[in-house]
Amino acid sequence: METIVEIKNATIYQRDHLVLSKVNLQLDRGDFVYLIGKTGTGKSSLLKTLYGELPLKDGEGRIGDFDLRKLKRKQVAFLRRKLGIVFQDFELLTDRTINDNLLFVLKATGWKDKKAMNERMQAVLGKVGLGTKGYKMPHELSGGEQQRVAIARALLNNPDLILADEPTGNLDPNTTEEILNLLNSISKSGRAVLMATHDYIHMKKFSSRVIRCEGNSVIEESVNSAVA
Amino acid sequence: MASTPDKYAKRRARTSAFSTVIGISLVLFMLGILTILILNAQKLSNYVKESIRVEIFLDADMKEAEITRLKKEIETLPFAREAAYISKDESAKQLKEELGEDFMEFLDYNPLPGLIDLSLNIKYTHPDSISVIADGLESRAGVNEVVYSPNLIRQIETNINKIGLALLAFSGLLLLIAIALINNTIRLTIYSKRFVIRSMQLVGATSGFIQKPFILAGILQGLYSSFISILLILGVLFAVRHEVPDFFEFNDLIMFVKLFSLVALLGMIISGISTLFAVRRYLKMDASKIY
Repeated sequence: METIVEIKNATIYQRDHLVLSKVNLQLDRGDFVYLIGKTGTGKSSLLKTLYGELPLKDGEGRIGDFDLRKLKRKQVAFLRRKLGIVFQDFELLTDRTINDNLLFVLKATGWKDKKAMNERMQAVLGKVGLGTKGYKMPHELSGGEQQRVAIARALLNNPDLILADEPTGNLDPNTTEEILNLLNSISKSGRAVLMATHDYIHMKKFSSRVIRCEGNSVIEESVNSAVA
Repeated sequence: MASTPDKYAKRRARTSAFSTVIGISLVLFMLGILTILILNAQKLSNYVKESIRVEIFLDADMKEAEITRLKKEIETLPFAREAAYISKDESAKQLKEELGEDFMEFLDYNPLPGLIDLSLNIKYTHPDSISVIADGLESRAGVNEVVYSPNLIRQIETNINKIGLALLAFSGLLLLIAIALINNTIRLTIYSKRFVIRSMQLVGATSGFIQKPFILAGILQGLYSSFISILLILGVLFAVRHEVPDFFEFNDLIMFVKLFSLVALLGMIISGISTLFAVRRYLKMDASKIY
């Protein structure tokens, strides 16, 4: 299996405050990994380090070709193009339609050919089951639909890694299940998915790796022990 | 199918852009009016300076031919704008009119000398230059005395300087206020877009790519504002001309072209740069601080 993320002996700080130490983490193609832990234990900080929001000051870290220790401010945008990021509050551009949201990402990441862009947009919207809603504004969609748009957006540039920070935190149980199925099928298509969550009930559905943040460290657990 | 909230959001965005444009135009309008005042103050000061007179009293026994020659000589000097000869008789007539009675009746003769009334080029109206010019003229043959009022000239000079300085200081202050006001208005607009900027960063857009449309919109906003302010200025000018026809000349086209270009340029520069700073602020801001 090809390794996509590799963190060794890393220490993660939120400004000067130590959040996690001795972090070791490896994600391979096809992995679907839950990241759990109480609020304030460093789940979001770990994800932020992975998408370049927090600098990695100690230890080693690599995502694809990017060395997180040597990551410069200007490279952050390019790192993020290799990732798909999905948030609890969707982070859609609220001032434009779904199509324009997707178009913005394509244009921002260097796509030029109009036809290719349209095809790509239709492909990802089809994948999340929103093929006919591209003309709508974000606020005209339900929470679950908005989250699916965010996932479609994350898929635009064929990323190897999807980072999801409590993507179901604002959704009802049925919708949560839909989103989980979607993310799981994405991991099966040859990407790694790392998902921070509180939702232990739905975790049982897929047997996958579980990582717990607790007392400044990151512990790898099995699904059953985590849920128990 | 455009639903109501969609329309509402669009209308709200339009209103905010509209009020920004109006805010900027009003500030540019004030700047424009002040510039016109300053330009007219210059005109007024020139007018006052041009009216400064140096009187050259001539020897009583000078012949007409000599006087004409002296007048011609003086006219060719670099500081002379206009020289007029006023003969003894004319002086007497003028004084008679001023006094309202005929002083010749009890004097029996005309004691007034002939004189050349000289007005100066504006460049030479400084009190120091005038005193040098007066000394030079006095040493000429046929000149009895050169008279001017140094105190009056000095007073005019200092008053004009004071007014000019006050206007300049005021316009400097106004420019600062203008920049601060425009900057504030734009920062509020960008502030409302901070989450959009943040989302753009998260999907891998570079800072330059995010900035560009904002700055273009900012410059365009400055341009719209300057159009509005120019219309307002023109309105005021027409109104003033109606009331005070001599206040300024409409055929001074170059001045107006310069003034309106200045207003448009200021609008675009201030609006563009403010937008740049406002957007960069949020581009560099820590994610936890934008909430």
